[in-house]
Amino acid sequence: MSPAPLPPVAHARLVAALHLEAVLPVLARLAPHDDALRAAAAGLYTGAGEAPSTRKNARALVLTLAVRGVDARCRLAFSATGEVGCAGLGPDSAAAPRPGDLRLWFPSAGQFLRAVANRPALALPLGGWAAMPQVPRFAAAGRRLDALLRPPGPAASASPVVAPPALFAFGNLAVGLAGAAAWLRRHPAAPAWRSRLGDGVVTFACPAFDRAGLPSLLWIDLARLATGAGAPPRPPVAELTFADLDTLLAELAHRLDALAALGGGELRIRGHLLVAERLGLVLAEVSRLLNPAAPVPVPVPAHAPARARPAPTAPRAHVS
Amino acid sequence: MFPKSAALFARARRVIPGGIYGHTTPAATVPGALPFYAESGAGCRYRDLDGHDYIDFMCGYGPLLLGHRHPEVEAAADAERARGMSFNHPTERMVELAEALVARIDFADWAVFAKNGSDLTTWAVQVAREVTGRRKILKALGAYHGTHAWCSPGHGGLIAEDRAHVHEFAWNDAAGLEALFYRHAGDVAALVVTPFHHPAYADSALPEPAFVAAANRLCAAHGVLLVLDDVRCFPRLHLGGSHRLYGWTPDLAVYCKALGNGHPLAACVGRAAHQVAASRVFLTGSYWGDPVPMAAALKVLEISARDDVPAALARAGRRFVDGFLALGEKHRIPLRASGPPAMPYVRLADDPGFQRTQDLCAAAAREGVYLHPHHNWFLGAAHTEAEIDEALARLDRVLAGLG
Repeated sequence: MSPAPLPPVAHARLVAALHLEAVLPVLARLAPHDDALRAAAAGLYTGAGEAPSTRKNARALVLTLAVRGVDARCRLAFSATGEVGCAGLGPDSAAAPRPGDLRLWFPSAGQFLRAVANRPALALPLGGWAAMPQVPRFAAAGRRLDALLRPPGPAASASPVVAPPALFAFGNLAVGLAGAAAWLRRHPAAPAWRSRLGDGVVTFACPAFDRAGLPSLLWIDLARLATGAGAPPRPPVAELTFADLDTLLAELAHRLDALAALGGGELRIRGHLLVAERLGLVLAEVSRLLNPAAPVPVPVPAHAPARARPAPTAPRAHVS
Repeated sequence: MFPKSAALFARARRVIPGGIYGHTTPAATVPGALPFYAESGAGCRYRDLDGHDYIDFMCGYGPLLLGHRHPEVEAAADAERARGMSFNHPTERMVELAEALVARIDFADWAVFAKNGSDLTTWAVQVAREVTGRRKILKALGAYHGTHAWCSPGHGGLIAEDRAHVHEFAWNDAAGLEALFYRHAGDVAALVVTPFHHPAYADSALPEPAFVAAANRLCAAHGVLLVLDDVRCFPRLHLGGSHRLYGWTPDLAVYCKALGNGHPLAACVGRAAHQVAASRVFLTGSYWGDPVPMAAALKVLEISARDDVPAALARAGRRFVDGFLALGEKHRIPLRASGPPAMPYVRLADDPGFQRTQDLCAAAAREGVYLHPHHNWFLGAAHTEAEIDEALARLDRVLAGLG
């Protein structure tokens, strides 16, 4: 059962925080495993066609993003060779801007979310103006991240623009876990959820990660609300293993019959099933927030008077 | 170890959501290490589809009070079945069973019948609302009362309004319970409790006397009906209802699992003061008048009294739990036991994720002892001392292997 919908402003701020604390930081997680992302972060792409070009900049770029009304920041560091670092969460953490950072401030969560959606948005540079010409590196990296996290279509394997399925799954799982941590820090209903989740560590593994050269495990620490890759900080209370990529992709697309997969061995949960199940609900909630369902047109009764008919594209209230 | 089970499950998942759903889903045990399907049973043992035999400490999650295929119960059921079923009317068995329950349960003046615990925990809540004209239901956090929307432990298909008037308190937290009563004063219809707390993925907890006293006092003071969900416990713990063991003073009590020794039947009993209100709350089901389970239940009640089954189960359970804990000490594997002896739960101590307990139950299954890693267990009258000792001998080997 999903928590009650938030008022629009609170909803937008929560989604903005999820982007700052979960989506953008995954740039750092994926950059070591994707040449195109590193190239974009290094400024080797001209942009539109994503085709490699000559190096335009050989400087490091540090970018701090802040949004009015959202007590979260994201501080991204792009090296000259395309490595990406991401520091800290929250206003008092290592994400605080430092001298020389390019500081972008969005006057509202709505403006920030427009920018995230590649739509025109208002952002004010509060410092580091000299680095403004390098903003296209951030934009190019963002476009590559978007491509990496986009569900692979039928022609995925043939397109260099789309992520390999293992990287797509790894990236989305990383975003989901970081998003779950952010959601559990920020949503008004989170205290009740946290009391039922407990304070253990939950790990997620898939052999396909190993085969793709990715860290074999992703984890979330429910006590610290921290996430990571590789060895977990403490022995986990629940260990989820997806036997193959198809099972993990089905889970990410919310089309996995988990009971059948558990019985069939494609999914294995060792440990506290209920913790895994409850965390799955948070992951689903995060997914709904980051990937809202398309509005469903309201059917128009044939006998309805013309002036009472809604516009064909009028959205029905979202069921959350 | 389970090739036939795996093959049948592969067939099942093509035509059944989840393959196996509900409390018997393999997901809730240790998939691949415990059986998926049963083939046959006798007494306290059963055989899985792949031909492995187990000494059964789950008893079908409770119903098998007297063991699989108990001859007297089955004879009573067979005799009734020979007369037919699914009539246009109830039979005399329904009246006889209501009279038997009213005679046995000290506070009961009437009884109704259904098929599942959920049928009647939900109906009891409706009766409480009919009696009081109020909306709120109080229940313990983590307590299981069935599959209906107000109490289902599942998550799918629910909306916030389903739980809008259901409020939870921590088990044995008398102050928290009292606070809930006062927060919703004048609007609480029912307090729903189990005789003892038996949540999944947690130790069981007996009720503290002060908690029971507070619950009884608050219900009386606020005019709230105390609904005892005795579905899982009756009559394992006490022939007169589990409230007798712990001091609850229920207004309504719901029985189910062991009532028919596996034949599908649920019952709710109540006080005369609420009989008219109960008559106003619609209750029916296509098969709820079936006399066969009622004949079985009459025989179960008769045997339970004749053989003092609760006392026998308590002795057998104590022998099993004490023996199990002693084996843990012998092998230097700290174990933790909780719950009453007839419905014990033993797991490895310091095992917050239950992984080592899952290993224990998987190894026990390989030795032919069926234990559940995250749910309380059940003793039955078919567990003789010899079979308890045989199970302990097998568990000795299990713990030796784990150590």
